[in-house]
Amino acid sequence: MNPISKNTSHTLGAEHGMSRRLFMNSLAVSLAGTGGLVGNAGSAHLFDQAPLQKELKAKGRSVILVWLAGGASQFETWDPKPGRATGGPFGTLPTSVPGLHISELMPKMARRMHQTCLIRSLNTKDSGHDTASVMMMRGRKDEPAMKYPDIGAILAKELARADSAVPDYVSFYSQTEGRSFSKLTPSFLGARYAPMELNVSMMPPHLRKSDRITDLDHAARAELQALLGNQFAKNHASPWVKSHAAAYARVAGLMSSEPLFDIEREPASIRERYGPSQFGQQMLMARRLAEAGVPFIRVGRAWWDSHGQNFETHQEMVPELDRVLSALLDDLRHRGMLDHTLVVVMGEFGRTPAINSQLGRDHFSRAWSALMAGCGVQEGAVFGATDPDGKEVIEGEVGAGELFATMLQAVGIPHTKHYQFGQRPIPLVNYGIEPIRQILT
Amino acid sequence: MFTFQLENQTEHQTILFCLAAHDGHWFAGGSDARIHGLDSSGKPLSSLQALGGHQSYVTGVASSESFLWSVGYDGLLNAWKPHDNTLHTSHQAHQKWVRDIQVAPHQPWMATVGDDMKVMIWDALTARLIHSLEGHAKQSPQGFSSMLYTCAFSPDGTLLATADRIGEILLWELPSGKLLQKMSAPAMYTWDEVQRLRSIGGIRSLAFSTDQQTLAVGGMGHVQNVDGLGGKARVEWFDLPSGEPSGLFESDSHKGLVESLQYHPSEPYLIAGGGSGKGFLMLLDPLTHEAIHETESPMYVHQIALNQDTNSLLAVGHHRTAEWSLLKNN
Repeated sequence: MNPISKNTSHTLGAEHGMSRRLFMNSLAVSLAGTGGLVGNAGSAHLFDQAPLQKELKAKGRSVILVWLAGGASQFETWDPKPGRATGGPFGTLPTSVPGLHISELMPKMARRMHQTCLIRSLNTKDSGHDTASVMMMRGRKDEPAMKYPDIGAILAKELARADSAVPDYVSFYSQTEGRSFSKLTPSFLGARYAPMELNVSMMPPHLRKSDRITDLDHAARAELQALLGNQFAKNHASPWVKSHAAAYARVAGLMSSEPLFDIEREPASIRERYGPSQFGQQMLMARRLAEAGVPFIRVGRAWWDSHGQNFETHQEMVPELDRVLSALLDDLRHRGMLDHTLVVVMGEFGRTPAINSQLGRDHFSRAWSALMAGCGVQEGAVFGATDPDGKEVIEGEVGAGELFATMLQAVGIPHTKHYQFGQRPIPLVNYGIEPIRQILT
Repeated sequence: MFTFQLENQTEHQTILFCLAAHDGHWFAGGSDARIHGLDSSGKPLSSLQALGGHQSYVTGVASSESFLWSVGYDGLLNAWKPHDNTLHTSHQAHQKWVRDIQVAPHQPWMATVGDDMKVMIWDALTARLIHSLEGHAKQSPQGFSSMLYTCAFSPDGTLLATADRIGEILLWELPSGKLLQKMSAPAMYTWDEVQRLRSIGGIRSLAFSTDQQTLAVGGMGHVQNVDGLGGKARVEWFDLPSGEPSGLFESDSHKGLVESLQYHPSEPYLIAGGGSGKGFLMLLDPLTHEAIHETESPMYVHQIALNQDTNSLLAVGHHRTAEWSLLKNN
């Protein structure tokens, strides 16, 4: 057990050791060093003290975000309070981490908690589905003049290989409720890092080559396009021409990755472990994508919003989560992927300690939980704590920003990194926000 | 013309799920894992200690000549002598949550139902297991665990009806344990494939008519948004022993689950209680399948029970009890 309170100092100078003068000097040096590429998003990394090799080391890493849309109950999953008026009817199970108990609905995960890192002290201060979803995906609130890129877009940019034939950011979300709430966006990073959203089918639309075109014709057309494109580029050197050529290369690469989206290629024994549910099949697809080098995959499981019949809802949904999540962790471990794949389990918030008259729990952001496992995070760690009734965080309070910074840091991306948008440096997380260092390896 | 009149209501710290009369007092099981003695108006009886002995919500209480019986989400079946605060026996009755217990009238057996989808028939004197009956599907059509919510005996105690989450009703003959009939009320179960990928509903209450020719089944109609109990309160009737549907009532006034049903033993109506955000009570005409009277309850109602004189009704529910008079106006 490692419940350690965070440093609550949020002073810019104290946290970054940077004065206003140093800030301006750094800005000038950085802009000069990049040839004044102001406005070229992502081209300048102000204050970035991290050595280049650390960034390079980050390549090849992936994040699978298990998005429990609508808000799963921490009481019926990761932070049970048995015997309390707020605790509900479920019992608990001891886990493979001494002293740690989780809900009785998760027997498989109980045997695997020594592989995970549990955060029980989220206070994210927003209990609206849409606003909280956006905040959790972006690590902060937008500003009136700034829409921040989400975690998937940032990781796509930071972790994707330039020559990758696979997509950089894939999101599964098949149900309609809450699908639009997260407003996934690369923002100023550009459409290159926008998610491939697979909401209807697990196979991207129009990926397959038309049957009306032969392989020979297809190859010949590509050669002709390359020939004409290269000739044009020789005489018209511009970022737009390069972008055009890159887009063609990307499409060709994606078309070649069609077999990746064919889940029938998985052995029956593996598919059985994940189970027959849509959630299970999408999670298996997420593993396939991570294995193929996709940097960020979100699997959305909707819809946990249990204003009525909370216990029945969790009786139905948590065992499925238990099966699918445990299968994913086993699969990643057996393939040697867990050391370079980070798994994060969260939604937009948790659920109230109070049980309403419909035996439901309502939205609650003041004291809830998230789970991490794999790349860059300690195994068997439990960070933070809530009070005996689960009403308040009493140890290690962290918010959306800290969780976001922890995800970045875990896969080797310095949370202090900046992008440049026009003349404005954009930090990956807000100033003063620190990762949860106690759980990082 | 029959109506209710609210006489008393009492706030309680715990959610009260179930109610039974035993040795002249009411006993209600709660979310605090205890059984509370209540007076005729629903106020706590200071002369009786709350009974412990459970590890989770107490969801069923029933009275036999010998004992007050209780079941809960801990899977236990407990036998009590409540007036001297004695737990006589405790059995692990089911492997999952126990949802209901009923003692057969005029017969020496009782029944429990649980989420292991088993119907257990017990000796009501010794708690010796007589039958473990299986017939309810363990999983919903979508592959999720089902739940076996409720059971009811016929007035002579020789028929037992049991009902589950997906709207299946089984009729058993006792003491043989033979399955007599399967009936279905699929509208009581809502599966949302498109928006939320989960379900809500289930049959929550059953009652035999006094002549044993009809079975009333309570739950909720189709739900647009399965985040809450937004379906219309619903009762269906089935002819026995044919099992054919014979009537339907859906309330235009009240939404939510019909959690409890009871035929009046001498008057021509069926009493229903339940709720969504708000609670309700209804008097239904079993012949016309129409409402005689509907009213709001001060709390979500989990169970109702007529007093011995059948002129008053006690309801237990969400942190509250309420006592109602049953009035007959000419």
